Amino acid sequence: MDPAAPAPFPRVVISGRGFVGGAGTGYPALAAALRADRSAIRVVAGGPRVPALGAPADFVAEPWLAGLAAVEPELGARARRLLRNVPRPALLGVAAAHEAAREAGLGPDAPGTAGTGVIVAGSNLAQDWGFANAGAVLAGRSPNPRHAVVYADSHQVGAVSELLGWRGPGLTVGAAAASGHAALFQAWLWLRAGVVERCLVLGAATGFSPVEAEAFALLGAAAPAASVAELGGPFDRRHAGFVAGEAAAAVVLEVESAARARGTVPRGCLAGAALLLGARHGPEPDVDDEERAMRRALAAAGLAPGDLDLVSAHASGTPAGDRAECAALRRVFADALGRVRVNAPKDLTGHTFSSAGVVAVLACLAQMEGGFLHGHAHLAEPIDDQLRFVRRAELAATRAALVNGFGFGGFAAALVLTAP
Amino acid sequence: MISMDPETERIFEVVKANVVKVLTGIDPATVTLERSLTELGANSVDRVEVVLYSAEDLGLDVPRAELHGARNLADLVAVLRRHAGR
Repeated sequence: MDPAAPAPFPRVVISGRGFVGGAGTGYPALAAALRADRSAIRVVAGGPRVPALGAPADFVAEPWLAGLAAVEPELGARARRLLRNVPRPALLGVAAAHEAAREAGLGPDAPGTAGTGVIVAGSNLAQDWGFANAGAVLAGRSPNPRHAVVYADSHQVGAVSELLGWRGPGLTVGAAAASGHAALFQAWLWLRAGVVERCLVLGAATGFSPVEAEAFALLGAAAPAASVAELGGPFDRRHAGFVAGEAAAAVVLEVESAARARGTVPRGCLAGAALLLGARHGPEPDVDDEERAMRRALAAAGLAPGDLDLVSAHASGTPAGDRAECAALRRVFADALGRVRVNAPKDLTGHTFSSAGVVAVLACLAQMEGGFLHGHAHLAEPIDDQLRFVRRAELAATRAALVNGFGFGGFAAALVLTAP
Repeated sequence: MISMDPETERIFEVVKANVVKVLTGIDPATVTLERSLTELGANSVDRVEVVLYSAEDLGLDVPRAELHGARNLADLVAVLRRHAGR
């Protein structure tokens, strides 16, 4: 190739980050929790059929709204109108999206940015809200009068668009636990294809109802541990399923030249992405599919396995899921296995489902920026002695990271992040 | 200003409280019987909310069809009052 020829696609950078979850409110709270290996997992419920452990967010809308109104009165009033009487995932989502937009210098007052796109990652986000409304109807009462408008996941797309004054393309994207990856993949394609110059990806919080909590437990996918001490986290010999976490996570993706033209600081680069199906609809992981997704993302980034410093693993926490991922990583990294480090934010944040991929991207950005690797709080005895898991937080430079994400339905996805 | 008997006034206060709850940031002084919910800034969902919450607060079950003709808050209060008297 002619070295003087222009690159076929523009570089896609991340210029804004937002987080609301168990680690706290705000991306800095997530970064601080990761640096301290601080787990948000605690006992949240009890009962013979409902998982005892969870990692809920302590987020309350009112103080957040008051804080916003104090700094940006008009936006605060708009947010207050938008977020009255809506499902909880929308509260967390709009707060995370606002934080990411503001870091990127975007909002209704930023000239030339009204074409920003919005992609919300996740499907079936307001299950708990639907469950409560079903209860009302079964008891002979009316459903919530806003139900017809806000039960749909796409409500969050409109809410973010209205708050920030954006009129570009927007939609929701679902791929089960790989939804965050799917949304980032979609945004990456839009930016590379020139559809938009910038796009916010919101990994939405997943509001499980007691129905989903019981159903995952019934399947053996949710960790049955009754206390934190009994919990085996991802890749631990005692692993027996995931712990549900609550988090919304947002990033602004931007064509690098457009970001720099606005004077915005790139925080990282989304260098490669892949999303594949496995010709099967069920929950079973597949080593071949996971290997294919990782290799394809690396190829898209133009990197070899030996170029990577870190893998942020999908880390389902189920024995089958963890074993398959370890096997796929051994295949992909082969000779480079001794060089690359492996960790997973799910050990600390719980499994946040729709937002998991975006949370993992934020975790990688925090580690690149802070010069550290986060460890695990629930990993006592790893199931694999070839992979170099980060056991406790340590100082290390990360220039390139692979982020895995797999989902029920045969979804296998991977992203490659590089330092800005 | 439309004059009100005590029962009408009680129902209007319930409606007004719900208008203030649903239309975040509205000045309560602007909520008068002559005004319509649309004039006050309510969209279609907001209107349903005000009616439903008011009926619930008053312990009433009002068929939606009876509310279609309501042009302003006075009409809404009259429909609610008719049911409250039953």
